Amino acid sequence: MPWVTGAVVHAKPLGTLAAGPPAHLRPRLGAGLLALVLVESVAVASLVAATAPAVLGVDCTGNAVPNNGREYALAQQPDIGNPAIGIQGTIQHTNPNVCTHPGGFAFSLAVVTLAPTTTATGWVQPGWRKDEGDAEPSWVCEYHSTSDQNFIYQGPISNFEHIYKISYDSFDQLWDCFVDNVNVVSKGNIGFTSGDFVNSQGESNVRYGQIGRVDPGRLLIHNVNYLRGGSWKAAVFVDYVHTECQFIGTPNQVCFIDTHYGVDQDGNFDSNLRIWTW
Amino acid sequence: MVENAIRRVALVAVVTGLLVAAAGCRVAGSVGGNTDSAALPADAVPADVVASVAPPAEGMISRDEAISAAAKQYSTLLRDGNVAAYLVVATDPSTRGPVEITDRALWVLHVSGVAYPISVPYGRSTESDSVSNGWIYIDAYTGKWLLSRFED
Repeated sequence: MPWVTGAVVHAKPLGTLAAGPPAHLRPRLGAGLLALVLVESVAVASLVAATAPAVLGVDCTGNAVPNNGREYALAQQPDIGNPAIGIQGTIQHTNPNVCTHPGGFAFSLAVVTLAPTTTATGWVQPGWRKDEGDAEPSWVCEYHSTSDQNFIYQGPISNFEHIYKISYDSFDQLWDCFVDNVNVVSKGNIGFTSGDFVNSQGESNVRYGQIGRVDPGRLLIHNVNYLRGGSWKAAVFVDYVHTECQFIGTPNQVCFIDTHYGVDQDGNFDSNLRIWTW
Repeated sequence: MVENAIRRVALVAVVTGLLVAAAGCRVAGSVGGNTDSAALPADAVPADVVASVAPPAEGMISRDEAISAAAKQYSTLLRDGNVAAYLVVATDPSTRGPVEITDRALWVLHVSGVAYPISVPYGRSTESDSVSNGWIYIDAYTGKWLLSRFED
């Protein structure tokens, strides 16, 4: 289980976020409609207050990971040898405390990932995700093209363990995303059709947003398999990494040490991992 | 006396006119999400989605109800972004199975001006770690959240 040390860096703020109704709407708002907008704003603010997460730890509230970075607890098989055309994993459910991010949109997720090793970017990853202000996690299918374009799909899920899967269909040339073996969305034109980088991770963009379950709980991601040659093969994780973060845009550069996250193998199964926060 | 009666009728007419105008404004907001109900702006839906303005029909939820439904899941997004609501009939070619959107009446809430972060696999590089647009699909009849999309 590797541990890597690194230096503290300064945070880089997210882009400025706009607020209020769009400018093109304002001239059309009459007094009555303005009152209605105010009522709506109060209603939304009430909902925000109602769903605000409890503070997990002393550093939980309003602390971004430096340099737009992320915290991780994960396992990887960075080179499976020959490219696969699909990835799947069974991921337990929880409703994490994502804390708050100074720019909004703190998040926590659990996903499995397939990516082409030879390119600098590009991946597909299904799983679940919860954002700051969300009532509960949703399923997510994230497509990141080799030209750095992002396409994210989300939908409601029940509070149970689910099988998340993405596979490439050479017939229609689309990456099909499944929840419990039901195709929910499909997307093409992302610059690659296979990959040999297999990953499964919990991730947060807030220190110390909850990843997985809270100790002594463990969130289990199991049966992580990749699709190659027409059959699903178990991933053999060789790297279990935790208590780290990375600069976005500068991979493999560690930006902080913390001891709030854990990852281990569940028994002797190569394709399983358990992730948690303490 | 006749003069007073005429004044009263005129006053009622003015008040009625104002009420009708206010109601018209409200309906315009409901139908087109604060835009011209005859046409949708280009960014009302994702680029690959085919959509047209839907006329309000019996049993459909209002714009406010659609926003309230979306806020149950996306309160921060709706708080921080610019929100426009459109009542449409849409077909989203990327949807499948239980969430397939084909000629379906939806409220689409377009949230813009945000920096919605993506997930980045550990060890991978990107120069684009957020997206600026979100579209939230709410069923126009049941008010159920169906699907959301985030893209630049």
